[in-house]
Amino acid sequence: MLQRIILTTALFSAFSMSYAELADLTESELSDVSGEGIALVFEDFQIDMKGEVMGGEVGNDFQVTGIKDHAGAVVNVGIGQFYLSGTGSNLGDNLGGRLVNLGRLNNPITIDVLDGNSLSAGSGSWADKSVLAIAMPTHIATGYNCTDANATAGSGTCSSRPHDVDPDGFHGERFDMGFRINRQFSDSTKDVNLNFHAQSANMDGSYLRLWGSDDSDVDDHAMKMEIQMNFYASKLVFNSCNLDGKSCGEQVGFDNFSMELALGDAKFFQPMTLDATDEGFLHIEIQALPSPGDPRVPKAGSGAIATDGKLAGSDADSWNWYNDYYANGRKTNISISNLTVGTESFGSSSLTNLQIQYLEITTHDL
Amino acid sequence: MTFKYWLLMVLLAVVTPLHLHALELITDDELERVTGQNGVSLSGELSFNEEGGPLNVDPDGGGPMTSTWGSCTDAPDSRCGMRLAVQLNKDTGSQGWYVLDEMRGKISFEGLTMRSREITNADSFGGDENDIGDGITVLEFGLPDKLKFEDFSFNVATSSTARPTDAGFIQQVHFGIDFNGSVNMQGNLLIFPTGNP
Repeated sequence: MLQRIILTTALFSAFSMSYAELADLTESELSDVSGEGIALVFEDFQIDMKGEVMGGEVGNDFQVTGIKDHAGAVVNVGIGQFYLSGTGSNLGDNLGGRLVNLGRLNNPITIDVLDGNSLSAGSGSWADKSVLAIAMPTHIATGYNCTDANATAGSGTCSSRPHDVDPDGFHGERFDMGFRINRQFSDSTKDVNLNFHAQSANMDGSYLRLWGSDDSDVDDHAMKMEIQMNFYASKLVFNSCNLDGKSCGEQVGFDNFSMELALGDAKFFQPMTLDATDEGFLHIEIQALPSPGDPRVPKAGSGAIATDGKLAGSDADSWNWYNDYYANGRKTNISISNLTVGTESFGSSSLTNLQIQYLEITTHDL
Repeated sequence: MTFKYWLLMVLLAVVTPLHLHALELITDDELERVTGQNGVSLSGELSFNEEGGPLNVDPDGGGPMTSTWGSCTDAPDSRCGMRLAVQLNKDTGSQGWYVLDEMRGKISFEGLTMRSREITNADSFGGDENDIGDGITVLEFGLPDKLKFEDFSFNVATSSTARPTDAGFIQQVHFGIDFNGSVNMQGNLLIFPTGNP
């Protein structure tokens, strides 16, 4: 009884006291309020999944199902280990205290809705559309070398920092990651273990952008996307061991691995589309670059391009548009500073400025 | 009206005005000593069709499918579990569906925490804690130490129709997972608005 009385009394007094404190927001205050996206930062993060066969907890068994060999027998694919941790994990063996931050407070992972018109100046596949964007931390002007595990400030454009930049309990934003996979066949002599590890890696500059479609651009009505998939690592390691993860063979190593994969180019009407066919098969397409004369390509007159491909004799507006595509369109780059097999070194290799003009993938039944 | 309610009304009549007069504003000094508890700790368990559920079965093998209730072992040739089908195209072009199918099993976690947290100079973000201005408040999820899976499985597939019972149903299963055991996690997930945090 006494409680109710106190509550009632408190309510009376609270109403009368706080009423006078409410005030209208002024126009200038209200104009400072804006809708924002969501920013995410993983702090002191680590995840570790380990099957019993590799020394994990008793009963741990993580299987990938639905994979069969040529004779139709089930292939048992087990995830022996998956880890994502701070650097220095020694290929996932030493995870204690190896923590990592993913995203920075001033450059976080973001989930945001963007204005398609501001992404490519009102033209392209996303004109007048809202674009859902999920993005990793961006590249910055004064950043860190993307693949050097000991990079210092000003050495590159990656915002994710290596470990040991600040030893005060801070672990950096670069991670070690690895998969150890066992494939077991009906004939156990063919069983295979395959391991993949990335050291001091980051995914700065990666993004996934999604938007819907109508009749205004490409006539395929599938969901559209543009993907930038960046993966940098000071070293990638591939090797094979026994199924318990011991007695490993020689390592194949990719030093200073850098992959910048550009899938789709919305500015030039080349979004990537993802759908399923009427028969239920997977269908992925990067739309073809519009041909000369296409209504989407700017033109001063006929829109034709001269047979020799030169500006003289071509429609100037169209020629400039294609020139812009080849000069500034999105390009894929992959490079490795050194390929090693065991102790042998095979030097560097790289693939740069690859542009995809058309790609279509459809799965079929065997 | 009972005696209790009479008493309540009398008490209210007497007590209310007296207490109103006795209320005083709390000074800033006093207010500083008042703390509120911040945050919650959550444990949870999600289970899908662990004890079976509605099944589509074909009793004589000659169609059509009928719905029945049972455990997954009652219908080994049928589908069992949750199905989520999404069509990523409309009107024209191909008309297939992306499908998460036959999802069943259990996921449980313990010790997921949620609280609001002020980032201060004492935090260690490699200098970013000073960069972003003093005292931004973020939503902090403390990730659970262990995420436990029990017979948790699903298939990733593409399909010609939304439901297995629709006419012309064809499904291509690309792969699936079947998880048993614990996944270890550490760390916090911080959430805040983009722009100027």
